[in-house]
Amino acid sequence: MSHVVVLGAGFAGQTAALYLRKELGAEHEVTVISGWPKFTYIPSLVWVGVGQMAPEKTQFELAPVFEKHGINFIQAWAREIHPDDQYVLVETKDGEKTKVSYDYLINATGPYLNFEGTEGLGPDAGNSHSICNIHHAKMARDAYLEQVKRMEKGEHVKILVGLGHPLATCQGAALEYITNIHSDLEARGLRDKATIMWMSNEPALGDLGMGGVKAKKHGYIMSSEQFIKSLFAEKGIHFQVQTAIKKVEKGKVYWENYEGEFGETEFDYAMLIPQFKGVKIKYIDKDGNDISAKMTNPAGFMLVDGNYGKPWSELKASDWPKTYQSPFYKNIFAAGIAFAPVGSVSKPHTTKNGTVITASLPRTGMASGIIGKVVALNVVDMINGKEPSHKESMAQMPSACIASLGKSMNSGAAASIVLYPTVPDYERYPDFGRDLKATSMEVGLAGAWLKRTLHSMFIYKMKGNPGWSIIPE
Amino acid sequence: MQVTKEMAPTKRTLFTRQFKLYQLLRLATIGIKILKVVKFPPKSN
Repeated sequence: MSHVVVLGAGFAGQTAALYLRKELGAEHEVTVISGWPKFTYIPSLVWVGVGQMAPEKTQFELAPVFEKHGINFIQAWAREIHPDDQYVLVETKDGEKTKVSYDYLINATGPYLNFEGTEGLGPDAGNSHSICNIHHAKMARDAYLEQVKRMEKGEHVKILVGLGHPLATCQGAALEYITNIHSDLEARGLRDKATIMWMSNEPALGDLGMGGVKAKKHGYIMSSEQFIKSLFAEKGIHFQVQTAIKKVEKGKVYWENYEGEFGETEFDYAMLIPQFKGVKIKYIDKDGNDISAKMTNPAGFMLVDGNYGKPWSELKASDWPKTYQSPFYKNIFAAGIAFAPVGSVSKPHTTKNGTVITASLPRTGMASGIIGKVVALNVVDMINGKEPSHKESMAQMPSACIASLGKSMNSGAAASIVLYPTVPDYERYPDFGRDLKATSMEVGLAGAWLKRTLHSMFIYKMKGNPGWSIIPE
Repeated sequence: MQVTKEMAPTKRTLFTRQFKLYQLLRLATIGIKILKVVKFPPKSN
């Protein structure tokens, strides 16, 4: 009998737990440890943040789902992993600490939102907002609706949306938020009362942390830069890329651009995505030594089977992790945001002042789900006495990004971006790094329908309802 | 900060993006495209 412990109950953790339970016999035990009692469908928080979806529609209680599937659930925060002694030290919200033993461990803890990485950033500092979790999305919504009231009184407001750190990721979520604000204000007849601004660390508009996308369109090869530029032109959104936000104050951001120039931009309302780091869990060896620096990269993401340490210009598709197994402890895996990427896909830039500005690769949603499944099946392999046989690197993985541009099922829209592979492979596809036959970009009402369908479909899947495994990750 | 009119969609494009019959067709096309790339990813160039 084996005991598999999954840390985290987001896309990666939930997918891993469901597949483990499906594939393993009843003699094996599966335990999920999460500090949150509910699953949150993060992609729909862009709608919560503009008041177009009730927060409870994005969530469900985890305990009944796990009970139905015979999965143990411990609501607690993982504080320490002891890989030699094979246990996780967890802390409940009451401060009670207990040891949870494991035979196999899957770290799917998601991101630590590193607001302190940028001075004054985030809802706690009171200067900007975030839509990265349900609490932040609700606060963002309330603050946004206050601005709407000002606009209704005839005042003009400046809205700033983008990335709040030189190394931040999740440009797609910020893009959805800014376009949903545009659509919401248009529907309220208030669009002329707002200046909407985009500020990001991307090397070019539409980079999205994926090095940009190219797709065939109308007989030409179109770049995602042209695609997003077209969207911003249509919606009258001001933009500034190649920019690192260094400090946020009430109503003002301080930034540095690629040329090393410093500047300030004023705003009335800002939603700025923080840097993502690995969740703060210590790795302790059998002698009580903290081995976190050996197990993780400097940002706290767990090292797996990737080829780490190469400069960006030398990185190849084959360097990306495939099994997500720790090189130091074969019974530990990482899934979703928790694993350390081998580098960025977007070209990094260092300013003359030494500031590194790089749009990091997003590893959320579809990628998290796929990796969650891969690690679960690899753990099953090991329990069955085999080596991990399931391999799916991000350079062999497709991505489907349905970015909402307006929620309405009647007049909304979404940008539907399908690409293969997620990480460009210039050996297989020398021209653009991706297969142009499999890659596409388009805007339309169909995307809005698809986005809403995905919301219902994935919540259904994450609940482990009948037929859940038929729905692709 | 810059704002551009470059690449702004034409009225015809905006109309087709909201034309429901056409969008129903696009929904099917995108859905099939996603399923195809997920279930049968390209094997070689």
